[in-house]
Amino acid sequence: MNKNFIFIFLFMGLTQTVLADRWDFLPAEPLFNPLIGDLREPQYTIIAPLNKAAYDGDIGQTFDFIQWQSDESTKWAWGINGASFLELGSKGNAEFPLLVSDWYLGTYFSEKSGNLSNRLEFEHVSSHLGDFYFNSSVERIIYSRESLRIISSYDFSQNFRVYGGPCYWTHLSPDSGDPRLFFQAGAELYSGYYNFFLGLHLRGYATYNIEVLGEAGGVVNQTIEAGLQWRWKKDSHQSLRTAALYYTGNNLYGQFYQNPDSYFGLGIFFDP
Amino acid sequence: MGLAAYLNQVNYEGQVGGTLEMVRYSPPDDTQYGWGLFALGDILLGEDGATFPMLDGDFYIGTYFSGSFGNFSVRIEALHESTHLGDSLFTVQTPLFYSGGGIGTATYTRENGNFTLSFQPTESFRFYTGMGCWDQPLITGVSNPLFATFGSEIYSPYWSIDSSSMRGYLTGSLQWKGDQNVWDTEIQLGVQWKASRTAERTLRIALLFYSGDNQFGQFYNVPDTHLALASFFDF
Repeated sequence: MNKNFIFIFLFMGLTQTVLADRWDFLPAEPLFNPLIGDLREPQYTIIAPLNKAAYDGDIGQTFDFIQWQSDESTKWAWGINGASFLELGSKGNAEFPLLVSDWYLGTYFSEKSGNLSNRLEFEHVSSHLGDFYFNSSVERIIYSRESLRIISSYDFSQNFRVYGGPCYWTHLSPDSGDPRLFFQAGAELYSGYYNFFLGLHLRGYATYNIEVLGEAGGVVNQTIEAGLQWRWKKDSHQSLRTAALYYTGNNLYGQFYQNPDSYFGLGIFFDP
Repeated sequence: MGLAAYLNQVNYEGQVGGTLEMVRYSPPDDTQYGWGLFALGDILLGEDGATFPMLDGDFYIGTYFSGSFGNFSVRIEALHESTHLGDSLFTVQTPLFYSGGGIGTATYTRENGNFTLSFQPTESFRFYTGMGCWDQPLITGVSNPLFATFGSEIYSPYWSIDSSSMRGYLTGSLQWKGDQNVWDTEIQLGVQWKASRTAERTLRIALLFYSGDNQFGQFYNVPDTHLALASFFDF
């Protein structure tokens, strides 16, 4: 209760301090372009892995509270994000039992100067075994983590972007003493736009995302994605994407983070 | 997206999700038509010291067609729902599952079709009503799959905070569930903050009162009355 009021007062105070600058309250799109090749970036997603009877879903959103311009070329932003990632099994007869769900809540500051943008993010994640495993031999673990992530991104052109940075687990449960520092990097490659029917703009894209973590004896999680992106406006973040993807590494769901996982999949992505 | 801290129970509620309008058609006669998708994940957490064990997770996904005709608007919606017992309760109670016609051994999942009619004569007042039908009733042996909703929204005039706009709001909704023959009541009193009066994105902070049967599927027949402090992020 008290924490809620403190949060509200801090929020009101922060907004007052930036009123003197040129600022946008609740802007339509985040300052830091979402990392569309990262399967743990909040978005709306349905992925069907082709080599296992399961489906992955993501319901998530990134929400800039405030953007403010400190000089002619530099903008800052503060916001929050939240997401739920769930994996469903398939038992036939249109039954899709819940295998696991991971819930994310985070806050971030971001900055953009020309083609360079940066995001400092503090994120909490908890993972929960699905009721499909009720009364089974699969053991539930209490999985709860917080991380600090610094990602720098550079747009070489409208068609090519690279990003990367260090990350650190500030809290680990379970904590087996593994190294807490980890790294994330990636790239996004886009084709030119083609005019599609109803005035839509279509382009091809490919992404690569890698995470190198010290947990479970050392893990390298890699995602390669290639697909099509539809947009109503070329300069809008809002898009619909369909893609084929390949993932290899350890399972991204916290309950199974020590298990190797590798799959080809087809996905539909809605970037709000 | 929203967060709520219950004031009279040691519970927290989180929501992620939203509505994505895929297509909107605006003919010259000032009517508008839309088609879209929506998805929602709703989690109920307890509190155990510094940890927040999961009690329930409900998921919704659906599609809708909507139309706007002057002060009136309509929405036809098809919705899928599933509910899942939180893993912190696996040793305490058995998950509730649905199967055809009632509780059984299959996964809890059901669908409904519903229709909502909204009337907004002024910027400050809106009334809506609707009804829907589940593909299967919640309780075995109870055959009424219908439900109905009535609600209103009242807004104060805007006041300015620098270049942004804020206003107070009061909402009330009543939902009658035929399968449980129960009325659920929800009242919200709060403030809504926007970049401008016409902006669609809003931040809301509200006191919320709820009374009825529990809104989380695993506890559908457990009476629940709570007061909560909530924040919502509408986009």
